[in-house]
Amino acid sequence: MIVVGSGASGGVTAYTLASKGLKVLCLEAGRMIEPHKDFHNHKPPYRWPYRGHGKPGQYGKLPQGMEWKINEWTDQLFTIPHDDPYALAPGAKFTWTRLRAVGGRTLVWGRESGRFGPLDFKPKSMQDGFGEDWPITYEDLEPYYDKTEALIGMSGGGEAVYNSPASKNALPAFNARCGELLIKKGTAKLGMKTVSMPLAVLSTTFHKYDDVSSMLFARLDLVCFGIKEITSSCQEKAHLG
Amino acid sequence: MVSSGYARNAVHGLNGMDEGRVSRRNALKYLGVLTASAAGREFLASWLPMQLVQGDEHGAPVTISGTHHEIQEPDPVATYSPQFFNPDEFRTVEILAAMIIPTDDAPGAKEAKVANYIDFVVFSAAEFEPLLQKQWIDGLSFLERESQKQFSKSFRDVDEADRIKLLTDMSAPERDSKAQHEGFAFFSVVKDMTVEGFYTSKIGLIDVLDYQGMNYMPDFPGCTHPEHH
Repeated sequence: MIVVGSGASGGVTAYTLASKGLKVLCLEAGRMIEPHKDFHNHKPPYRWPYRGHGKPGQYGKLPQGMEWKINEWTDQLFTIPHDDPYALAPGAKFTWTRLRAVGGRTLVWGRESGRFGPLDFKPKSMQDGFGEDWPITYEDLEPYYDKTEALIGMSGGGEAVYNSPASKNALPAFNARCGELLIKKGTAKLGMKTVSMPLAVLSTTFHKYDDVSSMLFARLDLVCFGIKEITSSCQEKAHLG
Repeated sequence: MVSSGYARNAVHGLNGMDEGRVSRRNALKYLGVLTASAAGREFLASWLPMQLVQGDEHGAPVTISGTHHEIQEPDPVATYSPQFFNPDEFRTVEILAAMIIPTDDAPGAKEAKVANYIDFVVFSAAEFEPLLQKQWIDGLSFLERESQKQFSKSFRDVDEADRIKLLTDMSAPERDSKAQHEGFAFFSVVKDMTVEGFYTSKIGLIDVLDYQGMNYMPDFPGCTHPEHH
């Protein structure tokens, strides 16, 4: 089997097929990255020539709402939308950003991993009559959510709330920050519940890391998560391992 | 102007932490496997953002330096010569920046050399955003004309009270949504770029704001204020 792309779709597809014993060739246009060389999240803005913004106008007009994505910290990973011949079909109104490296946009993924709930699949029939219903239900996807969470590890999100199913076997949520505790108190007064967001970020040692070499990466998880600026690239280091 | 972090940071290290010293117990708890061997320490060194001092397998202190993340390069701002503004214009930019973020009990735009940053960015706009250059040239011309009109002097020679009056007039739309001023667009650019240039500088971000991001901690304690729990 040939899988084109090593991002969220291609990477998982290649992994699943290979796990089933198939011979898989995964083709990726981008290069392999080395987190300690290619990720710059820990670099403060004054270490960049333009304080992180790039030369004025350097990145062209970015899709609305995505201007924050491409900057000096990440421009070695992203393609520039107006230069990327594969970004969009001609005349398409939809715009997005693409990342050209092994792992694709999972390299900059923020890791908020709440499950879609039953209502999300049926906006027309179960919500407000607008949009179109998906041909599948939450129940169809549920076993795959379970499998994915078991594979990558999830912290927090162990408590279900309205239309947000709980993560299964969730690791403990990270200790709440001051702002989060204040919100929790405030919402409690309003009779609302505040729960931890399910994050694909390991808060403790994860069971699959039980040999020394894997433990190195599990330890790096803990090192990374200790850094106050929880960075997606730091988290990715562990998963690339 | 925010200044609370400055004095406190004089006691602590670069990023407001205690020079990255990690308690031995915590370091060994999380990093014991890695620090126990030279290869492990080398691996760590390529990853950690700052220097750590901790115990090795014999308990002796070991310093692990970060590599490219660690901040050792010379500060480019300190050795800069203006590339876009002529000397008179540059002097005006310096004055404007210092008016937006003055030096008081904490460093200001002058110490952070914000005018250098502004000159560099405007110079660099030639390739993709030449309009920014025009905005500055036209804006500085406007300022000179206003200064001559009101005080018969160059903006650079007007005394402080009069300069403040000029900028207060130009910035009126900030405080009054019905007010209009021909110089407001320029004032906004000056203010935005000064604030940006200051608070992304090492002086602004670290010394003045005492920014705690990009620090290493062996644990994530979350909120440590009992009154919030």
